[in-house]
Amino acid sequence: MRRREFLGSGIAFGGAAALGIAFQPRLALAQSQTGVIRVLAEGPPNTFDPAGTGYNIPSVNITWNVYDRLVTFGQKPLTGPDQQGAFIYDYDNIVPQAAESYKVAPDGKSITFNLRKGATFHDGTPVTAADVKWSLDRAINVTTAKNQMGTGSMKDAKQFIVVDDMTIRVETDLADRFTVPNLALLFPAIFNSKVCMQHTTASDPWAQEWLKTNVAGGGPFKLASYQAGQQFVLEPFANWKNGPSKSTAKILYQIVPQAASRRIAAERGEADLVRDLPGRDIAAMIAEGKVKVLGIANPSTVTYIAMNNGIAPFDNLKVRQAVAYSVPYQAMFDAVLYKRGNPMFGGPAKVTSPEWPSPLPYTQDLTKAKALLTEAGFPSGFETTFSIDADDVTVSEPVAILMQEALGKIGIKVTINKIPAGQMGTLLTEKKLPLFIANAGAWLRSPDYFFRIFYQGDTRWNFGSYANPEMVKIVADARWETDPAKYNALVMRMIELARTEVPVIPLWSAFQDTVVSKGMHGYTYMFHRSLELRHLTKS
Amino acid sequence: MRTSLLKVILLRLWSAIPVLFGVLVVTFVLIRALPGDPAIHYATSPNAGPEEIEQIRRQFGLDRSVIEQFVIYLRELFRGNFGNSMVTGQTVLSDFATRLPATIELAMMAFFFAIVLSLPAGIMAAIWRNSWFDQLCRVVSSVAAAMPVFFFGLLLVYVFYFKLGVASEPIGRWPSMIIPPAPITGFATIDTLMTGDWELFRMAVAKMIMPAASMAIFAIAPLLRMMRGSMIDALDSDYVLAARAFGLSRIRVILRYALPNAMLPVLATMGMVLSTMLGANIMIEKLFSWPGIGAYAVNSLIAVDYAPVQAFVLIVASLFVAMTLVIDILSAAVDPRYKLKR
Amino acid sequence: MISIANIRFILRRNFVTGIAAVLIVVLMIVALIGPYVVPHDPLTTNLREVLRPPSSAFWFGTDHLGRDIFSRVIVAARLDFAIAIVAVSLSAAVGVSIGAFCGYVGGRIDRAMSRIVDVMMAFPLFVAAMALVAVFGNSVESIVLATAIINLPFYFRLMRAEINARREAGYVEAAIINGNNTRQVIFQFLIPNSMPPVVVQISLNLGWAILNTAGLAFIGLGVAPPTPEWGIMIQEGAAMMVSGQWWVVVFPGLALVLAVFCFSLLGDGIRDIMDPRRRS
Repeated sequence: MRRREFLGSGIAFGGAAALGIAFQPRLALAQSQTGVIRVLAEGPPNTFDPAGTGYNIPSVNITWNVYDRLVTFGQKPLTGPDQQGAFIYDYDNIVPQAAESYKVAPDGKSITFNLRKGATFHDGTPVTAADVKWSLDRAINVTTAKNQMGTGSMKDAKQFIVVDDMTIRVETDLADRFTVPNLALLFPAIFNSKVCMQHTTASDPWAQEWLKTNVAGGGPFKLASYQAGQQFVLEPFANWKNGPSKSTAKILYQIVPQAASRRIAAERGEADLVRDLPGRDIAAMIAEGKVKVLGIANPSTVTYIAMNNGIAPFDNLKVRQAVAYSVPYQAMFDAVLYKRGNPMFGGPAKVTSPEWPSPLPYTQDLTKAKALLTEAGFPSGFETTFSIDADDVTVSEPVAILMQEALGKIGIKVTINKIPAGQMGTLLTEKKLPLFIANAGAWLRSPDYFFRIFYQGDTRWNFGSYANPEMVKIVADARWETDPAKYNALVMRMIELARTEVPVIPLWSAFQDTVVSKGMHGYTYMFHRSLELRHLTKS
Repeated sequence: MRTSLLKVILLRLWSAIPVLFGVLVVTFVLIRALPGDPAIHYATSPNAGPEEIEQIRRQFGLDRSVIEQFVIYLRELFRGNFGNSMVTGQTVLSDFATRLPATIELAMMAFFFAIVLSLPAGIMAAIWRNSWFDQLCRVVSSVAAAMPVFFFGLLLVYVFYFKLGVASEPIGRWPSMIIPPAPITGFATIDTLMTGDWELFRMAVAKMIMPAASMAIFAIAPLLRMMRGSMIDALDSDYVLAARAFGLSRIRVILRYALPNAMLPVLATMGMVLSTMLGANIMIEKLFSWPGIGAYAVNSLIAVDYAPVQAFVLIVASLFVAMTLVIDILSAAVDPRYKLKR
Repeated sequence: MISIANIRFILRRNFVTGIAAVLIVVLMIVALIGPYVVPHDPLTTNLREVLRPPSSAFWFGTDHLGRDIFSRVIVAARLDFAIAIVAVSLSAAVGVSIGAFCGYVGGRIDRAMSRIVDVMMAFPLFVAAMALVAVFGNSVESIVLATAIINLPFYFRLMRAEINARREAGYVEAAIINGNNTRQVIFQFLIPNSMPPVVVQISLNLGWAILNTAGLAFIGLGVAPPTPEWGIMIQEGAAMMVSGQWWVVVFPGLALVLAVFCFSLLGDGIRDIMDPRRRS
């Protein structure tokens, strides 16, 4: 067999050379077609299960669009300089999706969802309350989803009550402002339970194995073809009834690992939507003015320089402040991020609003930094390592180099440590890194939720290993606070602590830059950073 | 003759088993020595806590002892199950089924380029020894030997794609805006020929030219030098001198007598070059976004994804063993004096 | 013994080899004194002079952090050569010793070692190097170690074959009769007599080691930033090639090619000198 293949391709190549069809100019076919929207992105998805174990961010591009949820976030138009015609999700406006309507009881402890009549899954079976019940039960049981569902007080299958075929009620012990938003996230996607149950086993009661490589949903798109690691095609689901969907074009999503290749395709107008480009390329393309770039920041995604508060010398407040004053914020923002983001530095000295994340008061001031370091008892500095993820070096490597230079000026000798992606999580979880770059976002917009994840607790997301009892207490107090004035006061105190104690140094909230072709309309930024396709149209 | 050849093949395959087993053990241990913990790496959900990590560890079977894991791995391997990839979410076997053809196809084309360039040049350099052409060959092969493949690839992309715009877009196997045909054999060229789609066939070939040319660069030096050296030995040999003395024409002597004898050492080099191309074109695959097995192995290694790396090493090692055997058999076929090693 | 006159004769006959040798000496001098004579600090960033094309102030232009590429290329020579030289010496020393011992003693140890080497040879070497660097961490030491390990089998096999062929030689028997023990026979008689092919191998291998280091860097497993190293510089510049900033890649690339080119010419030359039959 191999021999035959070998001979076959040998002859084929020979023919090609003989016909002289080597370096062919690009074909007319490469010009854009209205029926297809071509998306270029860096990484391949690894599962079709919205709550799959180890699911990666690219996989959300599939799961978000082939499944529906009971509710979803509304959209609001953006007005920034490079945001013309784009939309962003509206956290405060949660609209029905698979549900036709929903009603929160006056005591806030139960929410009733009426399902949409006539809505079906891709295979034509109607969506029923039993499907929703199975899907919600699944979400509170599978490993990946259950902690997240817990943050919305959904922990027990008894809380999901089928009222009739088209009505389901979700009950919680206390009125929880995070219950409805949690139902709009990735995990409580609605599965075709009859199909899924054919693929369950004793050791796999939620069909996780099967759903990893199969779709059983009713979302606005169908997965038409999939070539692992290379590309997939999403086709609009013609009978989708669960919301406004303007898109009639097929989505061709291609994985192109090299940023340079993606940029070329974007510049030549060969792609409709290009993502994951470094700031340098984006800035250059904007300067050339040939393409349209949408720069949208997720307000709750922040890049930090994190210091491990659990180990010396970063357990010393003055050392942390010294580091915060030595960061060359503006230089980094200009030369590393190419201004593609919202700064988190140089803010007002006083906390004036419960808005978070908001800029901290720091700017680079090496004299102050040096003085603080001396006060802290390190007049001649110390040695430490600065760790970055080897998979994500475009921004973090120059940041590390500039930090090394800046800290060197106040006597802190820094060695840069590049860590393979597979080890980074382990080291973060074990809290072993003294100084590193972190980038993370919260899905739910409330400030107390943000501080609960990033400024306390023992998960890897508490990057600074910050353990201030006051923070722990006020975060807990704010969890169930219903009085807006009291809540705001608590949040103001959290912000105050984050600003003065700087367990981590926020640098900026980076844009997710997307290059779109001239004919693209309706681009909508979702909380999960992956593509919301149903509003996209191409002319 | 026939039975003895079969016997040699079987013997050689038999003796390859401990080598492959050794490769398996080394890979298994080496990859588990990586400092990253897969259970933590794949605990990607926000709010993931120690409990979730523990659950994932159990799910992956990583809570068992290494010996136990190895026994399970071997058992599954005998059943033809290479495990699942966490990075792609597919079975390793299906990943290889789509990616191996891409790698083989590209390697074959690069191999073809390298041979077409270096063998005739080597022969001519040997015939016109110390001429300007010989000197040119020497310089070219030395520069080629010193050229990192990815640097050469970058130069090609810059000149032919960015500056001149004559080359095909250096991304993947298919041009923009094409929804690629469903794979039949997985070889783009063969598939398009089978469906008789000349347009697509031409595109598929055009896509391969730059990556194949970059990959060919490293093979030019060994092939050219070996061809030249063994051709010189053959031309200086008694039988060629004798044939010339008999008054046979120069061309006839070269083609009929010198060349077949000179091919033997070249065959061995060709085998080495081809197996290197199949296993070590990682940088080219990365640079050109080529969906082959090399880039796949690297991504898996970085993401502490055990199963694909183990499979990759095993497959490449098997290819290496098979290639050595094939070269040996071919050598015996070309030269009756050649003794097959047992 | 080779006298000075002899060398002069050989060099005159091997002009290209002579040039390669001179170039290598020049490169070595650059590697040694480079850091003291470069026009700019190779590590200092200058965000006002980012990605400048080659000019009289910056001969090879500047990179994405405004660092002078000429200075970085020059300073990198020392590290690249050091990695190659240390790694190759390490694998040559270990490979030659074990290979010689196995070749001379033979028997069970030899068979076991040969099997281990078979396994190493069957391993895809570049992946092995990657895995080793990943296991030991991204440092100069682990790159050296990985490069040394993957080159080991070549020396082992070469030496083992050489010794096998010489085991029965007259001078070996003479040495044994004169009361030398095994260690002395191997190290004082056999190895010195089997060195010529090893020297050729070392010289070729130095070039490969530089290429290998660059390859690892290109995949992202190079030395830690901001240390200048040719492979890392190419990797950093790869993304800028398409935006037209060719100098970030081209100069370190050329330096790399030049160094490897010289080593391979020298290797060829040495082979020609030692084995006149194969002289080209």
